[in-house]
Amino acid sequence: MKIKSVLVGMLPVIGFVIIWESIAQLKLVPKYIFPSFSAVMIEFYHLAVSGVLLDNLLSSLFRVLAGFLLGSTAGIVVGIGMGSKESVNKSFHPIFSLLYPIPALGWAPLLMVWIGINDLLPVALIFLCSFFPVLYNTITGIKSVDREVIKAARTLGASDGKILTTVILPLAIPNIFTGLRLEAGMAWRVVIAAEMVAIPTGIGALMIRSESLLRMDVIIVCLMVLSVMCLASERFFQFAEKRFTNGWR
Amino acid sequence: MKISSIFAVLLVAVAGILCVVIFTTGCVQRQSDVDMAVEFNDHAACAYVAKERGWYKDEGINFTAYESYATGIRLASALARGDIQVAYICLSPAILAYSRGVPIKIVAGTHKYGYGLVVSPGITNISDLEGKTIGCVREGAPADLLLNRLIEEYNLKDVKIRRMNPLKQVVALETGRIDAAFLPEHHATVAESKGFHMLIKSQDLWQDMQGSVLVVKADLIENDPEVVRKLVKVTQKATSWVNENPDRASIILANVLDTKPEVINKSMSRLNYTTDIDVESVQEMIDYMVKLGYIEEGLKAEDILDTKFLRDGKKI
Amino acid sequence: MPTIELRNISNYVFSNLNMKVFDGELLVFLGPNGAGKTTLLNIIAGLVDYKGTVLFDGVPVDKKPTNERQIGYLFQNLALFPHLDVASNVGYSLRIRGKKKEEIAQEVDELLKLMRIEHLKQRYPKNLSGGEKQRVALARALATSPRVLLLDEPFNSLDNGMCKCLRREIRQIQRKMGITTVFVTHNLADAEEMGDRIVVLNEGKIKQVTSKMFNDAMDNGNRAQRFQDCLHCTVDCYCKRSKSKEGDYESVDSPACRM
Repeated sequence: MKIKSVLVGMLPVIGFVIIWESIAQLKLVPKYIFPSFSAVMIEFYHLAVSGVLLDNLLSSLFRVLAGFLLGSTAGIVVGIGMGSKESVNKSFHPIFSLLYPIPALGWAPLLMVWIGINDLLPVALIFLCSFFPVLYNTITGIKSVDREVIKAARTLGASDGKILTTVILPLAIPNIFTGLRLEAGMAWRVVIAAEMVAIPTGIGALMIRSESLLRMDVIIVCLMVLSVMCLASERFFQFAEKRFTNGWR
Repeated sequence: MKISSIFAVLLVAVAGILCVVIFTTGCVQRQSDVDMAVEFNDHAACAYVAKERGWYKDEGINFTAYESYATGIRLASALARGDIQVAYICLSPAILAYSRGVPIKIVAGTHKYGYGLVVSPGITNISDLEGKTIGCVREGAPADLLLNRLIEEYNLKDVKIRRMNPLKQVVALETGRIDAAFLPEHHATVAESKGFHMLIKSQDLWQDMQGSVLVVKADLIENDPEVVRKLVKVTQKATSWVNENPDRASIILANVLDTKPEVINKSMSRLNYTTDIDVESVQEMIDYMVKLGYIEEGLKAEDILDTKFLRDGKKI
Repeated sequence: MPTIELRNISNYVFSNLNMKVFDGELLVFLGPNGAGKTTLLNIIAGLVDYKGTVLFDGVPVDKKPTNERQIGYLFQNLALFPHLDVASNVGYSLRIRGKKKEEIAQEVDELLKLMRIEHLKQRYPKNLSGGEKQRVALARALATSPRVLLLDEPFNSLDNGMCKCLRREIRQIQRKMGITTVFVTHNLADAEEMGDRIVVLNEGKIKQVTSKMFNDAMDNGNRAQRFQDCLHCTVDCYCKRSKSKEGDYESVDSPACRM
């Protein structure tokens, strides 16, 4: 049964690949615009074996990890403050509600002047892209904890600090993980865009270089890698959430 | 008046009109519609001048699209997509497009040289470039080839390259984000006019370097060789005029490129405007691009060149 | 166990309320929805603001936060911690107090045995029935070794048979431990069964106080009647599970059946 359902899921992918290869082989579109699936796979092999793909992937990965860890940690910490203390919420909410709607990439021109074009630029953009959604998901998670459960903890002798660590935060985890899961994929999208600006290394830089050299096959390989990384990041947090919530949800 | 008389008059009038139409048809130029693009610099001086002076129209060439691109790489993409059939484009992006399978032919040259390295004060010789940040257009463009050649020949170490289009490079020089910029003309002279120094020109690095070329899609040669012949003819005419009237040409270009005529004048003096193009200079560029890994080996200059229209033009 | 006294209690529900709950007593507050029953419990617990004084054994506790008043509170919606299993829910207060793991395990086991829910030790609240949740919540409240037990309509979501079972059990445990207990309900049957005294409350005002009128019914005649009811009870409750091999309820060590 399981094999059957896996096969059913694979069928559209196989069909897509067949159509792709057919279009290219029948030369319905010029190969320099639309390379075949087999040409892309061959190029993938060459890039992998030569180390070019791995080098650029590691550069992007480092930026994603740095920016995402910093941004989400800051988002969780500030979110805990704003979610649990009304005074903190009142202080920060006005400024954050003005900054939140600005898309992460909208900050790029300003940060290019302030930070310059170096590794810090994509890290800063990913920080911004991760911070706000994780912040608001943390606040939502904390505020959605049943007040009666908090009262119960109080009657059982728990101080405010203990209630936060033993009740509120564990119950807020599903919301926090939702934010982390969504932004993990977004971080990859942002790093690619940031690297396309003028950073010499990374998957985004490899893509833009390939665009200059009219290498559509390399661009498609990069897109595939990006897709896999986005998916892997989201799945990781899905798995982590399941482990953390461990059967009580 | 009798009806038969009126009828006779009408018949004669119609016959007369028909005669006029038939006999004048041969005198009216057949319109040819083409989509064309040029680079936004004075490399395409002949194209800008010819358009301004109406020489394309005189030959019956009608542009259904006339685009201007910041770099040759963008132009090459437009050619690949099929957005345009005719382009005045730097040689190396044309070679790139051809090597990827875009069916184009080089039918004439437009100039030789036309690139320069502009540096900020404090950089007085080439060795000062070590450890510095140099702006350059994307990989595959002539400025990129020249920069690679410079680094190789002078064995420069620890040079950081920042990729951006020429306009942004000039701004980046002014704001200090880069220490030097390898720019195509006229941008190089514009940067010089803002207080920077031209350290080295393409002539110093690459003898007889082919600059831009006139490129057409192969199916245009097949389907409408006459329009190609006319394009080459106009290009030759405009190139001669530019060489004979540099001051007037610089006024036209300054207006189009939004800069001062004296800057364009100085810039144009650094280019050698000629439609001549030879197999050796094209092959040299192909070989260097193979060496840099931009294209595969095996491409021959004769495959991409089609100079019969140039030869025809010279006979006339 | 303390006497609870409310002096001149005023807030958005009450206006100068005065009353006493005696040491070891099970006092029932009976009234419709919106009468102020839950608010009264919250005042004793210190969970809402109020003017006036609450005293435990003559000592004001107004300045004491909830977590220092040593109360056990069974909330109307039970408020079990969804992220903790039954053992962890029950042992929560013991962990907060910093007791050792072995001590916690032992006390938790005793409480689970008392409530007859040992088999539910590692289950999560989402996998418990209504009656099971009630028992867990009660065990958790008792784990604090409370001086005062507050019960907020604990039988609301239970069927009749389960109600009867639990009422008897809670009454037995309360009497055995002698905890001063305040029980609120809108159900007359609950009030009759449970209370030493019944205070009728409506719109924040005490309307009537009745003392032990129904508990006098616990004479031998009614005891037999109760026993009969248990025998023919169709609820698969914990009383029945612990019956002897002979099937004789009298020989079972079941608090509910030992009247």
